[in-house]
Amino acid sequence: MKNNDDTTHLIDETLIPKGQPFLSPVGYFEGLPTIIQRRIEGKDCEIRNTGFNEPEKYFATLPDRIILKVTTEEKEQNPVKQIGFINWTWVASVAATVVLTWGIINDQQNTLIKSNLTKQQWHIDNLSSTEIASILNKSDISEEELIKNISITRLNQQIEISSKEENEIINQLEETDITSEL
Amino acid sequence: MKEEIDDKQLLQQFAIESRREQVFHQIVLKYQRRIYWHIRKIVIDHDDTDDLTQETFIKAWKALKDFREDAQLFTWLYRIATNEALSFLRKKKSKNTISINEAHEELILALQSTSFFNGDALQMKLQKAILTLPEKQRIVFNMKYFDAMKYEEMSEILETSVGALKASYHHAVKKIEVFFEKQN
Repeated sequence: MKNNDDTTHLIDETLIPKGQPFLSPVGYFEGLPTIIQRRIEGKDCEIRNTGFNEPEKYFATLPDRIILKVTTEEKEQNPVKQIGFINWTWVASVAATVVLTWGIINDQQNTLIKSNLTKQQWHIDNLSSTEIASILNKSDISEEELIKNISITRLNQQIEISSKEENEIINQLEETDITSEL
Repeated sequence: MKEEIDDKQLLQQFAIESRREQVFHQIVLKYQRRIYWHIRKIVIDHDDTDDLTQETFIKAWKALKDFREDAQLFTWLYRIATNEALSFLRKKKSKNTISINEAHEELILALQSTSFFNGDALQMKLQKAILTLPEKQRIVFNMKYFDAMKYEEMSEILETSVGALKASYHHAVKKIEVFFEKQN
């Protein structure tokens, strides 16, 4: 409490004689060396005033811990920066070369496929339907389609047979009728 | 004045990328105690103070490249530390949804339970009295009473006029006097 640098609140105004407005506050000069010392040091002097203290060797390790945290955080946040500008230029140029090469190869492949397709198209255009049919095997036609086609053919055949039989019966009946009439 | 020149030199050297870590180490070494004790007086608990001190310097590291020398390095660091400590207390209050009185009680509890207090009964009493003050008054009182800081410096750190700071300190002292009278 004696170390209070601003002792204005301790002034008992009744003690100040009139006509001496520049009287120093009570206890000012006793505390002055401490105030000056505190202002010069500006370090741990406040510990003894507040009553607080810190763990042993706390300030000895604090700068290193802060530097470690700062550098670790920076590396985690910015891996690009970690590589460095020159190295990063190398990485970028290698990546660009890879992309460019892949693009060229891809383009060549596309041209090749296109040319093959044109050839195939030209070949098919020059084939007759019988030749195309001979090229196509069973797997070229889906099983479902095949079954459907077969069923329709059979149905048509059945209808044809049925209509033939019907005609025959009618004919027979007509003939019978005529005979009986006779 | 010497301090100002040193800070300028440190800042000039900090601009050299290869020397940054080394220079920053020197900056931390120079200001760690002042920053730690400034925060400690606001948040009381050592572990919280430790976290906030580190956070203050990490923020300073990130922003130091763009630091303009129109402010002193130490007032700038004090400002970061003050903001960190105040926003920590606000977050704590809103997280626990506690009233101002409860927040004061929590700080008093932290003061009584901390193992890093070796002061006498009178110092404990003074700390309890300080904890009854509103946040801003508490900071003003601490900076003036314990750190012997000039009002002009405080004005720069807290971005408050000198007149308002003087009034704040005066009110704080009066309240502490009343607290002591009541206790006696």
